[in-house]
Amino acid sequence: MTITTSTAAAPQRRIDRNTLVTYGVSAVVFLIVAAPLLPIIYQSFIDRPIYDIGHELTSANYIRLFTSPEFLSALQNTIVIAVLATIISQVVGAAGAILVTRTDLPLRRMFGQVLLWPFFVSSLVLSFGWFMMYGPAGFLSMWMRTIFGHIPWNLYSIGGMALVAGITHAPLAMLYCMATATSIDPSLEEAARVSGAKPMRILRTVTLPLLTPAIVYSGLLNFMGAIEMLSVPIILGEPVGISTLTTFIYTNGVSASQPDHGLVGTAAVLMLLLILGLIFMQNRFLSGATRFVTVGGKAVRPRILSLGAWRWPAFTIIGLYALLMVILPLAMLLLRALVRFLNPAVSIVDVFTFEHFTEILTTPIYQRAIVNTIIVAATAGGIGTLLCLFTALISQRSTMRFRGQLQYLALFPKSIPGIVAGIGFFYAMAVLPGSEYLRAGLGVLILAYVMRYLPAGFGAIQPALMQISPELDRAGRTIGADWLSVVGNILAPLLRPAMLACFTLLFVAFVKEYSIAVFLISPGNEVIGSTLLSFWLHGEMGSVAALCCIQITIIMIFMFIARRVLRVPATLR
Amino acid sequence: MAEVIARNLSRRYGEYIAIEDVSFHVKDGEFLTLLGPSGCGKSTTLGILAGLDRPDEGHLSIGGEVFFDGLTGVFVDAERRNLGLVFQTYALWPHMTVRDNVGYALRIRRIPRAEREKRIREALALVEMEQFIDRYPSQLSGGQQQRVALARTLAYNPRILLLDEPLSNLDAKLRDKARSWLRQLQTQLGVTTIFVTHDQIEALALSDRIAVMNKGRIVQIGSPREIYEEPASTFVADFIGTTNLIRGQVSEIADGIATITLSDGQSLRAVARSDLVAGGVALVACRPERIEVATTDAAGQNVLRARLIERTYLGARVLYEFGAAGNSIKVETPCELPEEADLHLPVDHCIAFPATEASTG
Repeated sequence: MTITTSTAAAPQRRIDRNTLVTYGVSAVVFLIVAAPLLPIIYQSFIDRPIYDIGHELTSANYIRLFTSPEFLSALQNTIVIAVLATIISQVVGAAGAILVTRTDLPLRRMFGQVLLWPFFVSSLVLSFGWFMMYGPAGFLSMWMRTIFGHIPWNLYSIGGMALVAGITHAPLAMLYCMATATSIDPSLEEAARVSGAKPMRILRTVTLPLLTPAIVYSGLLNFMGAIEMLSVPIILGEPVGISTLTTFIYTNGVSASQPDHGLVGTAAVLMLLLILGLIFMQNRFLSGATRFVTVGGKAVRPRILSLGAWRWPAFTIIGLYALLMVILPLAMLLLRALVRFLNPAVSIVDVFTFEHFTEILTTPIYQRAIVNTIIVAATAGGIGTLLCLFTALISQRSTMRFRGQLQYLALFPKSIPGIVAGIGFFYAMAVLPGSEYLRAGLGVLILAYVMRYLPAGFGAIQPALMQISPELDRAGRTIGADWLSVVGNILAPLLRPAMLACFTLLFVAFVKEYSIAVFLISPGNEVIGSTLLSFWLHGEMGSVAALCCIQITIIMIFMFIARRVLRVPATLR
Repeated sequence: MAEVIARNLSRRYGEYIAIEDVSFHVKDGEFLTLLGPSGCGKSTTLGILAGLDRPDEGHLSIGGEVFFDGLTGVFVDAERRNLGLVFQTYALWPHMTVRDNVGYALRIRRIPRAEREKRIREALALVEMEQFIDRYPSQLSGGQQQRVALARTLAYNPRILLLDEPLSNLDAKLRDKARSWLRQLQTQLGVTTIFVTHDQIEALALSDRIAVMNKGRIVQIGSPREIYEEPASTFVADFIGTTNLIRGQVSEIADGIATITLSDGQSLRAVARSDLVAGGVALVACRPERIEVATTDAAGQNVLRARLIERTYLGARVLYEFGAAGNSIKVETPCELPEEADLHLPVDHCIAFPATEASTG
């Protein structure tokens, strides 16, 4: 026996490195989730801003909020827009998914790509595209006015906001429906065909009902997404005074000369409760969802249904949608970025310019915003991936006493809207001692981003972890490796693809992110999203368009590297 | 190597009792099998031995070192026990080659590279897998993976070897070969081995002793011969091999031999268990291969008249199913048997159990 056997009978050290890491990670997760929440709740019950001295407890904020006509109308607008947007996104998503995956629609592969584009572009960028194309001074609007003498639509309306919000959320519905649609057993459709049903009838009576769980589940996600969206209402609603919960918080907390933090904190608490309630409903739905299961786990090669006489009408409808709703607004951004001004009466060649790009790429503060965005996305992506990895490992594969609570905690930020997370960290920085260091640099942005996206990152890693047999770690333990060695030598290497997918997901989300940042930006710490908003406030549309193009380019380059070099599997969420 | 002492180990998961009051003593170099149906607690017991699960009560020491004690609160983590565990699924790490799989434990123990390589090769030579050293587990067959899994645990000279149904994923032919190979290797190394299986043939062929488990408890512990020939309960008799259980009334007990009267008035004699009482209901256990047709000179024989129900041809033997007084009696023999026969059940091979145990299996 050449091996020195362990000194096992000796009383064990209570604190070893495994305890240190498991409890350390749990403490970090607890702190970054609790840090923003507690100050918001506190703020809603005190009579002055949290950073002033001499707080007195009061319920006046709640009374003021519920008697404020602005708040009540914002609440109503939010609900109406979210309902309409969800209907639009689910109809478009389900129809798109069915046509692309189950039928002989011409160019269906191309449509499968184009309809998902809004997923990779932030809703802020798409809103700008819509504004420049269909807004009151938009390119197509002006063209319409020249021909017909008036503009037949009004983008600055509840309907206009709901339409744009619905389009930005449609890809999520489509992804969920596509995942289900590709695994439907084709014999279910063939049975209907043998019984004499025509293609459209089959799609309506067999395929669509099978997609119901996917439509309802993604619908709830999209409904929550529409409620917490800041971009569309701020671009398309604020100019005409249509406010929503997010813009109510934004105008009272950021752009007002005298921020009313009593109202802001209270509105944030209410928004949090609203989303929590929706998540509760979602979980209820999920627990009852197993009886919907009609599709096997096997990835069957779906046989395609012939649309017959509907082939070309369907192609026309989906083609017009892709062109008018997605391609044109994005193309508009590129065009607008390359001209001094746009007017249907002036030839584009005469006003062609690169000055918007050169201005952004040579002005230090704009350069800094781009560099900051990449630094924040990469750092927060890296930290977030590691934190999600350890959270998943501790909650699923350790014996730590609080592992169940840890998982619950890590998933909780799902219910914290981005803007509320921003306010929470803003308040936390105001009260926590020593936080000025975090505030001075990009630290607080990174923390806030990581916190808000913990559930998304956890969702990217946890399913992969469940695929790895626990016997692999038990084998490591009996052989003599402690928990951390098992993690480092066995689980982490096996989870490498999931970690890369997680990093990709987080990086892209962080490049697009802006609503968390609006409360946390200070001079020197701007990111692309906040710079876009300030360009827009100053009416510099050429710069807005150019910076949008730069943001899209960063995401495209990163996705290319991720797919080709890092071989990240094409999972999105 | 080491001896294993387990005393009164219990493990509950909420209301569910996984094991209760499990005690055994495995001598140095001995091969003990934990045998029982699925859910009997044998894998829980193995997990507790390995340190992957913490029992609620009891005491466990291996090689003189206390690994668990419910009273003093001592619990040693799996990685500090220096035991070898081979899993049913082999649990080879898919991202490591055979060399890295086998060498991982040596790396953890900071063995220098040259020494490590030598010991990897030794361990692989032991299981005749040297030529596969650079393969990944996915490039090996089931039998080869099983050998590598064994080499992986042997590489660091574990105190004892724990085997969790390592043969169950092999096909029948390969399993027979692997079984005798495993037994030879264990004898050659002299390592104390605890083997978990639900396969009684494996248990009988491999073990020095067998601990039969049912519903979280050890119901009998003994040599394969003892377990087979002298089962302690109808459960053991029925679980190990096939046995006939014939129901009747105890009419008398004399000199350890009970006379059992069947419902049709026929009677049988059988070795009485100590807890058998006259007047009670008994189950007489007798192996099918022990039963034969009574010779014409029937004096002193234990004879039962029975009628043939079914005949199944098994190749080397024929399995007959007879009926007598509502009992099914199986007889396994190469001979041809008539439609109606006087069956001779040798008294030394008949055991009478009290029929208090609700079921016969």
